Amino acid sequence: MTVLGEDVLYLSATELGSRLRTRQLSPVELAEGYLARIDRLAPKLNAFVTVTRDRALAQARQAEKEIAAGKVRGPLHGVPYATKDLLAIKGVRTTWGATPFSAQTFDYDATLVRRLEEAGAVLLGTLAMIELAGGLGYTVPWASATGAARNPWDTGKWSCGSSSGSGAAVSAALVGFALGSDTWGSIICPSSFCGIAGVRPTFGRVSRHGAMALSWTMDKLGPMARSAEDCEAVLAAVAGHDALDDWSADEPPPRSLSAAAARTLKVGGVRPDFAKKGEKEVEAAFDQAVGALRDAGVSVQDTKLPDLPFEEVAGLVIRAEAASAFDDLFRDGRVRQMADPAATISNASARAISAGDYVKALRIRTLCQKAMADVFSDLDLLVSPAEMMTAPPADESLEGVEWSDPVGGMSTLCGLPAISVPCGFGRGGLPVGLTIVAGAFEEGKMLALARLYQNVTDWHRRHPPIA
Amino acid sequence: MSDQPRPLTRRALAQMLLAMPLARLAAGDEKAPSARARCLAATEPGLSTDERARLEKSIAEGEKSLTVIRDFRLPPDVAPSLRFQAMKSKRK
Repeated sequence: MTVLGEDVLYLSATELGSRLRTRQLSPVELAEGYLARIDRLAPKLNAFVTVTRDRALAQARQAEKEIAAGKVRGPLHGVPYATKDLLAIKGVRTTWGATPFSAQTFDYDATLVRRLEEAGAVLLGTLAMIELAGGLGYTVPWASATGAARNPWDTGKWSCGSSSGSGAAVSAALVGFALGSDTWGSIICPSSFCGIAGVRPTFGRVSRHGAMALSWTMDKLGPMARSAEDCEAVLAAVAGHDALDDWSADEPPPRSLSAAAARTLKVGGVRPDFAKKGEKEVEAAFDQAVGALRDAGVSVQDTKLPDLPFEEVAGLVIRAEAASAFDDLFRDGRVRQMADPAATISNASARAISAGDYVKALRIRTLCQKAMADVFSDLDLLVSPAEMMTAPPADESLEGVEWSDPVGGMSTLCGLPAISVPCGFGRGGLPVGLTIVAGAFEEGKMLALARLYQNVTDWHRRHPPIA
Repeated sequence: MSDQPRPLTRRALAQMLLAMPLARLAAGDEKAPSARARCLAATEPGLSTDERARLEKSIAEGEKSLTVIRDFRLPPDVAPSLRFQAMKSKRK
């Protein structure tokens, strides 16, 4: 067996796919290379829940035969990946990151798993996550059946949640790419903290059939990878209408834009007030990122979000829907098995929300959506720091942490797509993310700007020191 | 009533100090859970003392968002952002 080195394992998914298609690389050797790295590094990071070794090698052997026979399925053929542990995979346990579901299995594949199999991707296993994707709230990084997922840039730091393992595994090159889910920040934050690219698609763009439901009107699934180009390739493979998901949108696929077209996009820069909170190093990285975009010929003008209660509404909608989604855990007492000390009180806390409050929140959401549709009638994209801080410690409570994702509440509430790409380093040499938000179903513009940014910077090519 | 400030007597000062905790509650100080938060936490069965305190705090924190949402003025023609449609049966 050939042991592949980091020079190969850290390649982007699209670069791996290219080498596989041209037979410079064997799918079986690549899968074996990642499996060996998972064996060695995943325990240090608490990144994996289940490794599907036999399935991975069987899929890799099939990919090898097909590619040798000239039957190439697409850019992800033979590329190894893993899913956040909340997607149904036939015969493989799907724990939702929570002890009460540690033995749960399904007899079908989630639509995303099926679509990636059709694309020829190789499933390496399932990735650690915050229990129930944070649906009961969480106050500690170790609110997971597998403990705190650690950041490859500094294993004393957290990888963020709730797609914790997805962030860590992509960053440490344990996989070619990963899938995550995002209700509010669960793809964007781990991508920012771990120095990778992560896309939260428009609500309805990607089927949620077979995924754990936390908030029916807020949940989205999306790719996490080592480049924006990778995210675009994975999104192309998994997006599209699915009759098995009642909320799935029937929209044309994202339109790919050239770098020249990206330079003509009108971009608004949302600059948060770092005098109030946040790390100065993050502010400097954001300024540098905006400067790089301007140097590349992109027009970025300062802008402000409409004065609407995006975050209050988003928080209330998630709390109310999650309380209903997980009500059975409270009724039968299994909530006592959860890792987070605050889990037991979350349902009672949500009962302070009345039916009238929930409906009012959804009515305000209508106004928010209209206001943002107006914003995106004038601008193509918004850019902002993904988070105003770098990764906090993995072994300390999060209760004192001042979270702030300047455009996160707005964009997730309105179902708008966002990407985070690495744009520098902050305190302790930890990654900082730049987020780009687009109007609904305008992922093409967002990805084009992200690709342009990555063409003129090399932050996405830096690797963490883990070995 | 006169608008002239009254002289700060020792008795007036004592009354102000006694009234301060209530004023803080009325202002929604997060260190002092509201009467509603205390009531909801007290009536929730099966919680430990720590959990009850955590619940009080959690409800009190949530009340800030609830206040923003309840005070937000909306015209009646703004519908909730939910889709609903009558569901057809499969019967031909």
